[in-house]
Amino acid sequence: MAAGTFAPTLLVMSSFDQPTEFSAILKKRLTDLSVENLTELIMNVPVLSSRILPPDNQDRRDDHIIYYGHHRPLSEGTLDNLARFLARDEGIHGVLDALNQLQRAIVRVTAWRDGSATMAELIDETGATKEEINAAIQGVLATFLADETDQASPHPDENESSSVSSSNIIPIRTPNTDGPHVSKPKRLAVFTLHPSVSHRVELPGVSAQRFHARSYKSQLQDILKRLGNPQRDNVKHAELLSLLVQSLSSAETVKRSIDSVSQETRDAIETLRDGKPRRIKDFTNDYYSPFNYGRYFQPKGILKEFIECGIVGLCDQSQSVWLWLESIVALNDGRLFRPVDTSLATLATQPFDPGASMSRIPAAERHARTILEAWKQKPPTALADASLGVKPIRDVAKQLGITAERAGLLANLLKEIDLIAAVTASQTGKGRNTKYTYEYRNTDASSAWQSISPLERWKSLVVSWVFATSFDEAEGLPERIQSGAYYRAELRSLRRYVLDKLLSLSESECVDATRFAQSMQYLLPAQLQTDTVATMLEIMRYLGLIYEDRGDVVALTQAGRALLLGKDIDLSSLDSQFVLQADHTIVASPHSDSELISTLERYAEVESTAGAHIYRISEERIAREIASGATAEDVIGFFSTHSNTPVPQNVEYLVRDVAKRSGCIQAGSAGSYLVSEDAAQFARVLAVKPAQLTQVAPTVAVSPLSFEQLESALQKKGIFLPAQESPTLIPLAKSQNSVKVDGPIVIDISEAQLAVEALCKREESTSTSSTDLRTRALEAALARVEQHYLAHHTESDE
Amino acid sequence: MDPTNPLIVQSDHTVLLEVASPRASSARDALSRFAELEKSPEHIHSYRVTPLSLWNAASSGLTADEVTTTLTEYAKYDVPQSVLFEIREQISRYGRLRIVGNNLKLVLSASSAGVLAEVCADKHVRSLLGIQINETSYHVPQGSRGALKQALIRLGWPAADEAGYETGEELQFDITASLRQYQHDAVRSWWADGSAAGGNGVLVLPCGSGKTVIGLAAAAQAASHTLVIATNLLAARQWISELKSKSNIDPELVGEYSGERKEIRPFTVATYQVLTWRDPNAEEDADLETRHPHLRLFRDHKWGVIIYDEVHLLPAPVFRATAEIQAIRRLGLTATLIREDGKEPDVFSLIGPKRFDAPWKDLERQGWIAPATCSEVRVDLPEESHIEYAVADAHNRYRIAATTVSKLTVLDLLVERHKHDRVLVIGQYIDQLRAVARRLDAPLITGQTSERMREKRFDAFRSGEISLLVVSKVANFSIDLPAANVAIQLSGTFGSRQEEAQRLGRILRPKPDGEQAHFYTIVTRETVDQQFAANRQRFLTEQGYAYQIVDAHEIGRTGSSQTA
Repeated sequence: MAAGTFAPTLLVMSSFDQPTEFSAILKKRLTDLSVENLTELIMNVPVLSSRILPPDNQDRRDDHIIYYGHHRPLSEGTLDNLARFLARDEGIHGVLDALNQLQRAIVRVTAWRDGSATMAELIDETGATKEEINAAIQGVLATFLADETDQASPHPDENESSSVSSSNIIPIRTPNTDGPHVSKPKRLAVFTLHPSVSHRVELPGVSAQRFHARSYKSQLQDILKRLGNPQRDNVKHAELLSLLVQSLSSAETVKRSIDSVSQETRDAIETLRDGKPRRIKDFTNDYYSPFNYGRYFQPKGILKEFIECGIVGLCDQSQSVWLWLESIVALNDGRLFRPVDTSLATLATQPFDPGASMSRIPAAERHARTILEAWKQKPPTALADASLGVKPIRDVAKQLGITAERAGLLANLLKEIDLIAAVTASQTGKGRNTKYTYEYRNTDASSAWQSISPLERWKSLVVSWVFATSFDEAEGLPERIQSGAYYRAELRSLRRYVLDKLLSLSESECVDATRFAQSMQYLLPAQLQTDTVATMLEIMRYLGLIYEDRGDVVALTQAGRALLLGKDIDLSSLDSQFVLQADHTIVASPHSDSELISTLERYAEVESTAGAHIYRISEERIAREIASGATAEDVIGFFSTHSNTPVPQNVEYLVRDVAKRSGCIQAGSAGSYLVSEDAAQFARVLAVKPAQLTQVAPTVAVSPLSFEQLESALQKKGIFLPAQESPTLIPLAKSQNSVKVDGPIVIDISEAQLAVEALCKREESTSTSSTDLRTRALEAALARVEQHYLAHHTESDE
Repeated sequence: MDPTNPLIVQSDHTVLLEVASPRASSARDALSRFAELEKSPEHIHSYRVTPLSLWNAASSGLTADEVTTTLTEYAKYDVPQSVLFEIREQISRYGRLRIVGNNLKLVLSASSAGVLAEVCADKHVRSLLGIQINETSYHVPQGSRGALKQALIRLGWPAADEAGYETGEELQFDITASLRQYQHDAVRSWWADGSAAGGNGVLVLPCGSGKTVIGLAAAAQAASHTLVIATNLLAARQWISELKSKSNIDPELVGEYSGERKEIRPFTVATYQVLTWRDPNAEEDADLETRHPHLRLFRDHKWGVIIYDEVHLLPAPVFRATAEIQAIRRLGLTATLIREDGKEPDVFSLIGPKRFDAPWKDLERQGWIAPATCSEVRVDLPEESHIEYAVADAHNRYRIAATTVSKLTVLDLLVERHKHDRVLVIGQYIDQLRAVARRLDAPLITGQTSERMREKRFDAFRSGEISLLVVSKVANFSIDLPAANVAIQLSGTFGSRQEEAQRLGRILRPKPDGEQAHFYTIVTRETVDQQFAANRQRFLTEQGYAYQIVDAHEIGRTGSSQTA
């Protein structure tokens, strides 16, 4: 959006000394705004967007990521919140930071000229046209800073302002007559800042007027004396200050001062003309102190000349030196700035053909998963402060074939989403000497994240970037994870601001990347440097929000646009084919649909993801899938649907083999079992339906019921079981000497258990030690049981 | 970035070549100059760019720019920067260390003192160097040449060996048989115009593609006394008979150095067995030649070329001896450069890098090896063996599965189906083979069969006197049976991939009428036999052979229909 196109809506800041009252006025103003105007206001003041609460019952990260107030009426609470925020220092500075370069220049010039400036002065300083200045002023007014009670007709002498129409609501008022401005002659202005705003405006240098507002009179007199002014007694502080400002603003005085110093000092003053304070150390090793000059602290050389020339400011605390802004302006023939390039205010668009190859899940999603996998196998060791150093990030970058910065970005995003976290790996020593080592491990959330759809995973990465506070693009892309790092929350607003500017382009438009960064710097000079924007664009390219392969132009991808607008994302053109070969390898494109890759990974093991994905079909994985309900046809069907080449016959066989083997062994739980060798009795027992007996062998049946339930079910049908002696063996009759039993087989439980133990022993060791009494006892028991059965079978056969 | 391009360059330095792409052929030609073919299944071939392959390319004059241009020109997607960087880095390393001089005085010379200081910081390298000449060069003792190259390669600093070779005594003869184009190419790439850059290395060609002829042509090219080392006596005699039949060499000049004969002639063929024979009286810590006295053969005669047949089987003592004879031209021949002991790097540094590699299927398409179908026939383990199998330990399980009687029924059907062909039945277990030989009334050759009897039976098979032969693993290598066109594998050395390839190789000699060869492997279903079979087949499937899986009862059906 171009600067200066705000609707002429006026916010009033009448008094910063009474924030409560002021916020009430602001709230009324905000409430009166139309939804469109409110949206525009929030769009253009990024800091406001972070103050908007999400709509009710909505997780904020699920909403559009541009901002939450997008074309919707805000709740009472949100408006209240905004008004309170705007009434505070933080809010005012936030608004000032939202001014573009021209507006900023206008505000600075105005603040510099005691809060009011004429059109001629503004044109002279900024180099912009009258129309541009008018539009910029409208933009400033739309946000804040004017008092409608101060509006007046332009003074007839101010020719330049005569063209400003009253409908533009340009407030004209006399400057505030309080305070240090007292000696300033009254004059009419085209633009006036509220005095409370005025002193919040950052100037491009150190102003003596502001700096010395609270200095002692003796200090002021001292400087005035050095500047060649005669000593005056009984003069008010304000008068002295005014005199000082006048002297420092006089080109003649300043030049005289400069002429009075040595060439070395003159050169130093020349370097200070940019207005930035510098370290005294850059010029001399002497230490500056305004007081207690004793024998040991006699200033000399360049430092002495700095002090004595009067046009240079010095600070003992920071040991810094600067040329007063007043003097700089005097040397610049009364100008504060170089002209502003207003052409940057608009985004110069070019036609753009998005082409057909769109809407792929960007590689970043896959890379993020690979990092999680890699670190799951081998968690990287953290540094002593629980940060993650560059080495593990470079290692994983090498594995992925991406730059360390991209891997670092992903690592930070994974941490932002809480998918990885530093945990204590070990602890040595005690008390104060305890030393901890940390490593980064996947959190419980990581498996849940991996189970959501690739699209959702990608969305979560994008959203986590927009909300990230663990790194700052102003410092470039992170190549490590800094533990506990928390950067300014405004970053979120700035990212959304840049995204929103891109969203303002149509699908058939793009902008030059360098020019875009410059425009962003023009629009938000206080917060967006061109390098910062370039880094943001690099991130957007990697995350697939803007095209990666379109050279130096910037345009949102279809998926990126859809995500920002909260629309459905079309994934139809993703690569969903692979090549399946008879050596059981599968080669899939590096741009494969992540859904496809996820399914593939259920049947095959990754051999390489160093570009194209290479897999090897895994019997174990297929077996696992089949065990969890898939059929051989499902697996083969998947292969034949997605393979560019016919499914090799041996692969088909492999799948069918695995499926055939699956289910050969089945396990379940049984409550009790029943043994009977009497066929008739056994059949009778089996017929008792409530007993839920299933015959598993000619003489054995099992039931899911517990022994007691089984017993009760059978008793109801007149079948009585002998008392249970073991929780696992249920004999149908007590041991009897007679083998002639009427009914089921007779087993002596204690004998049987001993026999089983003996059998186990035999398995363990084939050579039984003759001295092992226990073993011999077991063997004897086994022999008895064997005899018992032999007798029984013999007699039965007879 | 062009989606129709045939190459995908991976950041792990593998390069995938899509065979179906229109530009695949030219990409392959360019790629093979600096990347090694790893596998070539039916659709996508894999190459790997390794430091060795790059140094090799650099030694043949290829520049980093040419390599990177090839990759970027043919790549389907952007080439990872890390790969391009690595290529520049590795190619720039080649030639910064050189071994120069002659056989009297060898010098290791470095392009800068820094490089020399870096390699000399390694104790092992330092121990192999003589006195320092100046800050960029050292003397190299004669015996250290091979070991030094090995050590430097391990450090990632390949030395360009420009010290050349001893010429050896002259032996002039010509090959009378005509060489095929790929055989010419293979010899040429090894010989490298007789320069010091060539004269060593390994040629990898499929079984049956005429490696022996290539070896003979290489020897003829070198025109000097030649020592060939073959796997066993039979193979050695095959070399001799090939030499006599395909060249104009005076038979008097050809000698056999084996357990039976110890002839040292201008063209001598020895066996690994005799060279590695260990003197039982030698002390354990005696030097190499005292323990293996026949290794003196390497040094006692002025050889101009040493040819290592089946170089993937080269035993350790021969390796060590080879390290000391780096001034002699060396040629390794193999079908599969897979060493089950993982000693491929030693083959590279001591015998030399891979100089030529021809995919099996390419030669099949050109008609130089017989087209072959591979089938896996699945039989069931008889019910009565289930328990025995289930309780057996791992080793015996394979024996039980591999020797199951069910296989014999299928074997009968297959032999019946191919009763007009020349059939080899190959197995691992002697008992099983004996039973099979009795059952089929066929001659048997195992390790216990005397050399004379082996030769007699192979000759009978070659001449067509017998059409069915049962053989153990003695026939895995180097046995030339041109007429064989069917191989039936009953059992093998567990999951050995190279054995599978070698066995297929037995039947790949091109047939007069372009006839198809058939390779059957009979596998017991749902046992370890099946698992091992899958592993065994890996090399061949990577070479593009697709195994057809058939059930035993299908053989019966098709068999009966054929006989009917």
